[in-house]
Amino acid sequence: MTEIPADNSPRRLSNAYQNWYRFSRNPTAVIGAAIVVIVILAAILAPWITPYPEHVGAVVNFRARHLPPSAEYWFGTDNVGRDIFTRTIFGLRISLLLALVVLGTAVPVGTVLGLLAGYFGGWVEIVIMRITDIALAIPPLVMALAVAAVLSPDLINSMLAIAALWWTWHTRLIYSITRQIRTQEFIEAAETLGASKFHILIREILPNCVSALAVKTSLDCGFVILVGASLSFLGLGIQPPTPDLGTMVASGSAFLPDSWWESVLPGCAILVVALGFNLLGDGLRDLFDVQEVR
Amino acid sequence: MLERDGWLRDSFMKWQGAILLGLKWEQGIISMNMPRILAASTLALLMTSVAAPAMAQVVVTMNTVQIFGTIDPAKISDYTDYMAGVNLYDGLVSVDSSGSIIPELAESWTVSDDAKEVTYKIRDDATFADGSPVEASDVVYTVERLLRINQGPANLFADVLAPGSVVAVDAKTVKFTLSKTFAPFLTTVPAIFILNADVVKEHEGTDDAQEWLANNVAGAGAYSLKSWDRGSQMTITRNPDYYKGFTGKPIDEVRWIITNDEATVRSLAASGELTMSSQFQSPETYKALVDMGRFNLVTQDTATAFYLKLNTQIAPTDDIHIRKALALATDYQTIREVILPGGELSTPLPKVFAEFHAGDIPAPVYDLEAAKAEVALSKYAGQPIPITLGYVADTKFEEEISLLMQANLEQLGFVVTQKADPWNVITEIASKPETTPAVNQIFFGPTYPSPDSMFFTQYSSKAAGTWSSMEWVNDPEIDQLIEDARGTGDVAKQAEIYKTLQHKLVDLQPDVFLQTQTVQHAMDKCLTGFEAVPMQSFDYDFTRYQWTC
Repeated sequence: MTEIPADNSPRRLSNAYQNWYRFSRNPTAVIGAAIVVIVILAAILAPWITPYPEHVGAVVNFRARHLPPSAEYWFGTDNVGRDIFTRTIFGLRISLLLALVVLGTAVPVGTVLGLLAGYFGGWVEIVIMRITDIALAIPPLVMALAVAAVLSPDLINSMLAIAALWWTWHTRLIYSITRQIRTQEFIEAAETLGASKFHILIREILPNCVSALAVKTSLDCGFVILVGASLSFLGLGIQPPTPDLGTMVASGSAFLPDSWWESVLPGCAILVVALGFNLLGDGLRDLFDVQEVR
Repeated sequence: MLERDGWLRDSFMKWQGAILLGLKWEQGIISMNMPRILAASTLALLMTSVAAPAMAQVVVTMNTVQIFGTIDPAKISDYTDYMAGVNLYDGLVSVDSSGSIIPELAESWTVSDDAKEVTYKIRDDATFADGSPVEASDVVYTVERLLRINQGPANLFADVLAPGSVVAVDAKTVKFTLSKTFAPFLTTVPAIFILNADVVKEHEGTDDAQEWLANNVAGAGAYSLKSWDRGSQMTITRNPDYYKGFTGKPIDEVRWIITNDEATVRSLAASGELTMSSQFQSPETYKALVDMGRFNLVTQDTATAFYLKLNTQIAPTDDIHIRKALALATDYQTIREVILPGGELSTPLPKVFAEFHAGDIPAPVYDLEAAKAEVALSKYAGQPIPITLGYVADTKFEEEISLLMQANLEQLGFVVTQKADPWNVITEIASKPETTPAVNQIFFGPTYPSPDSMFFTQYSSKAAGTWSSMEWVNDPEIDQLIEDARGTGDVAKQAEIYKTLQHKLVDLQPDVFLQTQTVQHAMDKCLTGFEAVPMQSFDYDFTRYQWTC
């Protein structure tokens, strides 16, 4: 299972420079990190770096519909004449927001449940882990489809549906790490010294999970963005005119193969973002020497 | 829950489509490998040998965008249902492209002086698909069953036909006695598809054979059901013994493939499989098909009108000035010329109904300044006005029209929310005024070839609560005019009432009258016979089509 670094947090901090050195020697990790940084910056700075920020809203220019990529419109225009490059950059915002909300909910919940189940064992473990098993058996995309069918199909509902299942992976991961750590001597020492359960969970066990969590979370980012794009492609995402990458691929696909840029280029954007997070995650895994996080 | 099924299936099919596309691509990549080429050519050889005997047959493959809901004549209700219905069943009479009633099973009919008794004479040689003769008792059984089940076309006869009002005078003569004078009655009769009573009674069970007729056909139609896979296709084949016979080179088999995916339609056309497109393809698809060289683009003006239905019961469209402003803020020309081809619509009634159309009403104009003035007159003036624009999800041109409206309305101080819903959700939200969006893009065509179909279904408070009446007009004066027109057999008087009605409705502005629908089909150059008919989908009666090659 997961191999635990023998050292714990204070010493690892002192190794920061060494870690950075190892990280920077790993070209794919650096490329991944660069992509992630660029994507995040682009999303934040979208209104200032895009040529037609007004094209995010209800702008129609039927004279400029279906124009191929050119110096004026880098990614071409869509069926109502809006600049696809602008909309793609703004679309990154929705993708990143989705990842942030889903993981922002799933990671803390999953971590806390995993810690409790792994440390206390017994009934706590049985209840938490069986619920986790049940939730793991439901594919997130199917769950999101079902939720959207019952409620109305929009981004919030899709996010909730994905978040409602995503914590399970983190619970499993943290649970297995916690199970190994709790029998180690430094935990016994802390218990002997009379440290509170809270202290042991948060200050002794959690820091040993951080590297695994970081790897898992960065890998998940890419995956959540892909699931989000799939949902939008199926029409469960955000309503127009707000730009969203999955929706753009879906609506552009009606004009294939003539106006290929309308779906292919936003599709490439999804590819690049997912790839960036995956490369970063792989790099972090090599760096922390965490195994079998996937 | 069932309502939602269709929508889920749509999403699923789209998803499946994506997977299929992926597979195709993969096949392209691996087809370099030799054994696969061999396997593929063997398969191709097999397929041609299977297809060879079928070549003698004329097979028309058409895509349709919605599933066939039912083929039970007592339940069929929408455009797609009727497409199957007119081919599988025959009525006493049918409708031609001018909206005139033409003989089908009945060779003649007479109407009493007070217009309350209609007698049909059934042709001597009329037979059902199983060879048994069509008799008056079959008509009586069909109507009684329709009234008992009280779904589908039954609403056309709600106050007009009571149980027992249809009687067999003799084996080949049947008399309808109406409860009251109902001028449009003759035009509603084509909606009654005659059942083979003997066959149906064998399968009657406890539910009036509803379960059996949902999957089986017992009629006199020119075609019989060959296969039907609810989510994906329906195939019908020609009855060689059809009582009316066939002329020229008739269509032997019709295959409907259910897909609303433009890329799928194009690849079906490119592979030679598609003979006729649905009427709902994008301009790009029509162009691509025509460029293939095998297709003609057939364009015809129809009696179907395209409206922005304004909910007169909720803010802000409860204010007449807001409704006028919306009509003035609509860029009719851009919609007609760039987004969706169509004809001019100046009143609720399309010009096809020439003798009833109020020609003195001018066509609506696009004038943002005048729209601003109207907003200023409304009770919502001087504040941001929230408004919801509803349209059918995944319909490209409706999304484009909605965005065009949003761009114009935002200049007038509206705060726009777009609401794209699948069709089955729209039918649900249309059942209550408070869930109906302020603005809705809706097509409405006559379900029987009479102006009454346009006015009663959309504007009478008696027909409220459906997607065709999302205006919630509820005006006693308008109700009365509709009833008056129904109660007179005098055509000139009817015309006068309908013209008054159009003036009142244009003044009330419960709709933005966008345009009449121009129906377009990409049709194989060898296929002829498409003529738009102002009733349901009677224009897809394939006995009217010919293969010319």
